[in-house]
Amino acid sequence: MPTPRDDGCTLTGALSVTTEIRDCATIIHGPAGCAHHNFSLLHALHAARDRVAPPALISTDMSEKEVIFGGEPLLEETLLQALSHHPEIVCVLSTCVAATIGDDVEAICHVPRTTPVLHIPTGGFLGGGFLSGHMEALRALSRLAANGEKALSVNLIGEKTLEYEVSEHFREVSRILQSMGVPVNARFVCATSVPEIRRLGNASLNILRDPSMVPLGRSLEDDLGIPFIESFPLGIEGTLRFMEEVGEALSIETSHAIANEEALQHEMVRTFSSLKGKRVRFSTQYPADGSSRLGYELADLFDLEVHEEGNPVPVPDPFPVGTNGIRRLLHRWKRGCHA
Amino acid sequence: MPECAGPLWPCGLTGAAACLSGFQEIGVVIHGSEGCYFYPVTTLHAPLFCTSLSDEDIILGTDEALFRTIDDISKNYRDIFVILSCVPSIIGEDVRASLEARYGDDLMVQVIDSPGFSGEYEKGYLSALSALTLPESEAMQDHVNIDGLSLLDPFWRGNLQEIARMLRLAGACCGVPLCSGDAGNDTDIAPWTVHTNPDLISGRGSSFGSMLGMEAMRETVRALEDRFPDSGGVLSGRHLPLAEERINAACDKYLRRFEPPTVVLSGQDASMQAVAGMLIEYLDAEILDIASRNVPVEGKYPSRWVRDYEGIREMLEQQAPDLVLGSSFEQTAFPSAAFVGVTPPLRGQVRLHARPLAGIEGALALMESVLNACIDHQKVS
Repeated sequence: MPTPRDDGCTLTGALSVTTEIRDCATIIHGPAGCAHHNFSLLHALHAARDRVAPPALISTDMSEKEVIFGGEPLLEETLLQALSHHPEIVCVLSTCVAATIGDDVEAICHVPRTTPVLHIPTGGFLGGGFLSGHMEALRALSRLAANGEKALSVNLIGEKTLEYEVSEHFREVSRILQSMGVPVNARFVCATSVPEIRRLGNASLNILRDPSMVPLGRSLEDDLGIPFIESFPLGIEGTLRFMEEVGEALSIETSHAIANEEALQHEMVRTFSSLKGKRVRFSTQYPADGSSRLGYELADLFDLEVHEEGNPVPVPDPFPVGTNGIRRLLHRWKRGCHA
Repeated sequence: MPECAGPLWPCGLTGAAACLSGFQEIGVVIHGSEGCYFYPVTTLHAPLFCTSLSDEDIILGTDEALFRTIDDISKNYRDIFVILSCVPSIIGEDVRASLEARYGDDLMVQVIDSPGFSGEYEKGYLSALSALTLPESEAMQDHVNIDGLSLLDPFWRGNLQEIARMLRLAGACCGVPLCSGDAGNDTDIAPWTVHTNPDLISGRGSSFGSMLGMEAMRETVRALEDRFPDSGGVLSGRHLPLAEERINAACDKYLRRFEPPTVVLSGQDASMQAVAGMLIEYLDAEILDIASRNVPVEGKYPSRWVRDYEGIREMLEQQAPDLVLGSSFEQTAFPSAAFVGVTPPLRGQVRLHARPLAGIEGALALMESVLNACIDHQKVS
């Protein structure tokens, strides 16, 4: 059935990246409706994350006139207006309409200017789905970074900025890294800035949000010489394994930090001991394989019987990050089980 | 005007989807890309379908994607409405002819031409509504339809409940609510209608008037009571005066301590005109400006068509009102003013219960919110 996943088009994917950069003006070359859809959704997420400023989006506000006569002059004029506000960078995103009428957006963006102007081809259906737009934007922005002297630090690559719990996930992965003495060099791209993107090449390791980012991880490895780990820490054992992998990649001693994390996990299991022996069913309709596996890991840990008539408990996809992510999830399971 | 920084209002496609998804047994297919589908489906919380057009479809023709989607859902829906997004409209395929050739009389499929570049939300909503059959039934003379309901509007449930209650008090039966999920394409509708949103007047049934704002409501109630005299005028004789008495008392108390607020309203024009009327009547408020989301109508109070966030921000900074009525965009743009949410979107807050904006309870709720916001604002400042 063609009716799609509920994650938007390439445009939304790219905007989930460009609107995370301070002092970046994003131009959407298309009808105002395309921009409103995304402006409204991003505004909702910003409001939920206590951000005061709404995303800096400018629509070229294409009308029937441009559909007939072409929209390039309108884009040029909008670009000049955007540049007059002196942003650090301008990202120009095309839409289905611009792509269908054949506007040469790339040529307009390619004109040399003092402020970088990046064209991110996001012609809705023409560019693929949400993930393609997300990836295209990250690829385009990664060209701002230069290879630099490596320090003991990591970059976080491809955070899912539209996730409701994106800040909690960041705090958790930062906590785990901090427990091993590893600072975060750059978030690529979440609540970031152009200078932060430029220093991407100074980290010793890239930590990808999830395996869908592997192609980007590879290209960053080629361009900047930074190896990568495929995913944020997920699950009980996965969190400990993540710490081992980071330790190995950075050649640092982590046994003490891992022992502390294990102790934290044991304490968490004691806190939720009222769950023991309950009968549950995973309420997420089609949990992804990875999430389902992590759900079973928790079920085993608490001797839960997974049965179709059990109490409904969520197994979110993406799965919550780290030990504290599991703690929040277990509160929801506890509520589901009336435990 | 090339720069439109942060467009505030949805396009015609979303309007058409908001209208059609408010009917039962209608399969709504958005003929476009996933992006065109994503916003309506996440904001309307109604089942919608999408052809998810790809670049291949654009090159080879979009018929196959459309047929595939319709075939998948045709067993579940008696009527199917296809909303054309920008791209099928641009490439100029004769979608109607293709559908006719494929389905003939076997399946009722209608096409709504509502590309985003050609008009805004209200236009799409009303265009879709005009395509529905909805025959008027003479047998429903004692019923009154309620129109102006939209799943996009955070007040639609409250408005429906409140106007249904008022119709019962007026001695009328509740007719068909347009468009809130209770009717099908060929459901009989009453020959009479009241409006909850003067910007979305359906044109179906003879109008008794609007239920938004006290001034309009008095007229509408009078017309209802003329038509249904058996109610004994309980609304105009008891309920309306009682509500006005309560509002007057609360506003009078407020004015004993505070100056009337200066106000900017932002939303659909005719609706904001009605709300502005109440603020002047009861609170002696000074209306500094009305920023209209849709093309302004000839109203009592001056208004401007403001389509983007930057425009709103500039207007609010220039006017510096004490009180802003609008959406969470306005709340964000000018956080130093007291704020009451009357326009979608209302983001960043949990909203569970059915709040009305229209009807007697809507008027009470509005004035209550205004007074509380103003009092809280005075405490802070």
